[in-house]
Amino acid sequence: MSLNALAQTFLNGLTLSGIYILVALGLTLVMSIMGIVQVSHGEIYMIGAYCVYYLVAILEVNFVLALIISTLFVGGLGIVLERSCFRPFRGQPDRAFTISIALILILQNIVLSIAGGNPRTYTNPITGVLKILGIAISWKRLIIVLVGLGLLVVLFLFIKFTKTGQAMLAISQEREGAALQGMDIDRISSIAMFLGCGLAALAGALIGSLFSIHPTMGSFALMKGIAVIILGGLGSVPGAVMGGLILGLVDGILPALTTTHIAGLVGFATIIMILLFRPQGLLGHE
Amino acid sequence: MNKKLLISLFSFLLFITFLFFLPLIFQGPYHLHTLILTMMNILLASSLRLINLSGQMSLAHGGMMTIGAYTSTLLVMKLGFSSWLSMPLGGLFAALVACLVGFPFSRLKGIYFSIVTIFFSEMVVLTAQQWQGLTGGSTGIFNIPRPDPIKLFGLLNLTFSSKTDFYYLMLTLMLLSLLILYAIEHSRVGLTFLGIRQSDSLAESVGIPTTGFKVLAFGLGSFFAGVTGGFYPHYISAINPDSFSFLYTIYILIYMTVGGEKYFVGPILGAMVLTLLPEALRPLKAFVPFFFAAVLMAVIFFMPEGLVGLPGRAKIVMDRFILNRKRYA
Amino acid sequence: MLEIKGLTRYFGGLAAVCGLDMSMKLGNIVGLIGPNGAGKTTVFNLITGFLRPTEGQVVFEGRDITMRSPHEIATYGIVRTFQGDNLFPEFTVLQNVILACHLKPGVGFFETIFHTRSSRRKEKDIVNRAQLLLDLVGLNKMADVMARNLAHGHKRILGMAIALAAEPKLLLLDEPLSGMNAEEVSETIQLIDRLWKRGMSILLIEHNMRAAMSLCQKIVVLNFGRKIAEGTPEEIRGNPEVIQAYLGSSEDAT
Repeated sequence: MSLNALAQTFLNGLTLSGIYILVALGLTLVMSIMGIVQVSHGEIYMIGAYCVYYLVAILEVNFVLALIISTLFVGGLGIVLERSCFRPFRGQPDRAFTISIALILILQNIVLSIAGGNPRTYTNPITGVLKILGIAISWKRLIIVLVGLGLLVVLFLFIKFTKTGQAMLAISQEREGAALQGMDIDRISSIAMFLGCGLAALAGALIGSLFSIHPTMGSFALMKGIAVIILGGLGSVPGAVMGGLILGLVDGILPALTTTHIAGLVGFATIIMILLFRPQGLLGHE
Repeated sequence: MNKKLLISLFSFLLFITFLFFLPLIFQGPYHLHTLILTMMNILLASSLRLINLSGQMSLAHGGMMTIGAYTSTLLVMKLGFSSWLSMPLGGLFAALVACLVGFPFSRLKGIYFSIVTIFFSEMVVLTAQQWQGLTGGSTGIFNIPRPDPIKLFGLLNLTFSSKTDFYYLMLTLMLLSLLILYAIEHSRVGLTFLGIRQSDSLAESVGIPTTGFKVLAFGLGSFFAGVTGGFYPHYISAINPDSFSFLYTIYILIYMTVGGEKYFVGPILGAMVLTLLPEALRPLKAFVPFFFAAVLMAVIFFMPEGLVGLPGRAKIVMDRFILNRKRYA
Repeated sequence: MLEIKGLTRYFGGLAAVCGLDMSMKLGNIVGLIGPNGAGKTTVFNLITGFLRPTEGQVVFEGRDITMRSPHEIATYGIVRTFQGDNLFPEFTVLQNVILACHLKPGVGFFETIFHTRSSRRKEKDIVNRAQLLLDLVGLNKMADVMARNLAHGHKRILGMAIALAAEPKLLLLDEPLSGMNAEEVSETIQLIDRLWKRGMSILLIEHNMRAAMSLCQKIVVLNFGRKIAEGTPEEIRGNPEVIQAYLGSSEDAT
């Protein structure tokens, strides 16, 4: 493998890492704060991509603006879903899980009936390559890494320095205790869902600038999101980042060495092993 | 034998007779196909419920069907087995795999068990895609032979060239399986499953090997998924790794939930309603998914016991209504 | 019959139980007492296999049971009850006990599924046994009540009946009297006494000091995971270290 090919493979991995981190961060926020397994997170991601598709390809909105609108819109959708579907079942994780499964079908079918089953594409106006040490790096991919990094910093600052962020941290670590201390779980859950869904939508929109999008694209994101969370430990932001980084690089590089199927098999087997022998995640502690 | 039991037995027999003559009413291949799919779904949802009895929510049914389907297909096409042997062997192999992975998996509690079974299913699909020499990769296998004909002294002659023959095959398979599932549930084994679901520490403390029973439940449920999976390729004559996707497993779960997982008839009712009604609404095809979603949402929000619990709930509402009327009269 | 040597269990860096040695003889009632958080329930969990000890050994009737799983230990004859309500709440009282008779029947898988004649006979035996057990503990009138609908005191007694159904040689009772009214307390004490007279060995965690003193032949006192005293109730009553441990905590030693 030439140096250039190696660098490209590595960059592909990093791109995937960026996507995985965005998805997993949102999912870990939602899961740890609301105490549910949100399996329709992948559909949220898919809707994010379709929003941008409609804005860019049909309404011809500027791509960056479309990203922002889509993120905010889907974040708002998250709040609606939290209020209507998840809040009535707080403290009943089994039923919330069923609701979440129902949402997979509902959201997928809504998109399917509006947009149809054919794959769609939209163009990303950010083109061109950046040349570093003779290695061409496509801006399209680099932008994903950068956005991922940027949001990470923002989220970190938000959690560290705002009162809401601190409350989120507290709730994700101990739900009952936080409720006793008079924290407004309703409000925090809404915010978590807004952030989580927004992040997922952004990830979906960004992946849509690289590959075609289709109504069933969400299950991929869900699988990867859950895998990253298992890797990094539930509710841990650094865990989600590390897990996303590792899994993204593995998924980017391994298929170049063997086939995609074997790479997938290795990935799932690893995650199952971790779940069995280190259920608190690689970074979590007992 | 008390009266209530007699009535239910009688209505059950009546229902079976009805099912037996159903192909005379619906002769079109399309209708028969729908009925066959309905029965498949009933069997799948009911067997999923068996696993659920022990407190484990498996989402590996699709994977187990895939294992059963490929096992049966390959035994027939590569090793020349009779399909009558290969279908149950498909189920047995799925059960074997379930038992092997069940031991480590059953250590995981609640939702983590479900997650790991999802991953397991994905691994089955990936294996089928990768192992091209055996499974034909992503394109799958075509021209899978029909089941061998059954001839019985001129009384019975099933050649499986028509859907009607497959209907009777599936009907037999379903009834037999439901009978076994019912017997398991109402045996000591079923009681133990239910006990483990309610408190596995207490069950363990009185000497019940809970891990063993959980694996048993997973294996038994997966057996029926494997058999159904084994039936399918001989019926459709093709199989590929995506035949039983994750979404299919989700549908099975929904049949069970909507019908009401607390009751034996729950998944049966759920699978019937949710497979047949969308077909009845076929002229309004575009709205079918929304109808499906509406039913699902209604059940989750307003009927915690599923459709089966509906008469009971209606009675409560009626009683309250009558009571109020009396109070104000 | 039961011998515990150097039993130690750490949680994180903290020792919940540390170097515990104790033994009990066949047919005795031994009390395990101590302030809250002294590690009594942890000892139960270690004996019955629900927790693995960090160090140490549990020997029962000459057999090392230290690394065995709970259900195996139950088959050897050690059965415990739980603190609080750990029942099968969606079963009737009778079903609770019937399920707990798991160890006796020897009904095979296919026997029970196909309802063979032998399985039906065995099941009938089990129902009879379960009913006798309910007579013994005084729950016979409530056999068909759903367990979750029982009053608190009856739930505690059902917990004991479930343990008894597994036919233990050694019964481990975790605060059997907690949350009971005076009448239920005296009934339960009589029940424990009756079990003992039938030859059952009992290891008892109890907060009700008077009851523990009157029932037990020997008492072991734990504090911060260590044994601080062991002896007859009279010896324990006068032991200054025990008094100190109880006065030092907010526990009332009535």
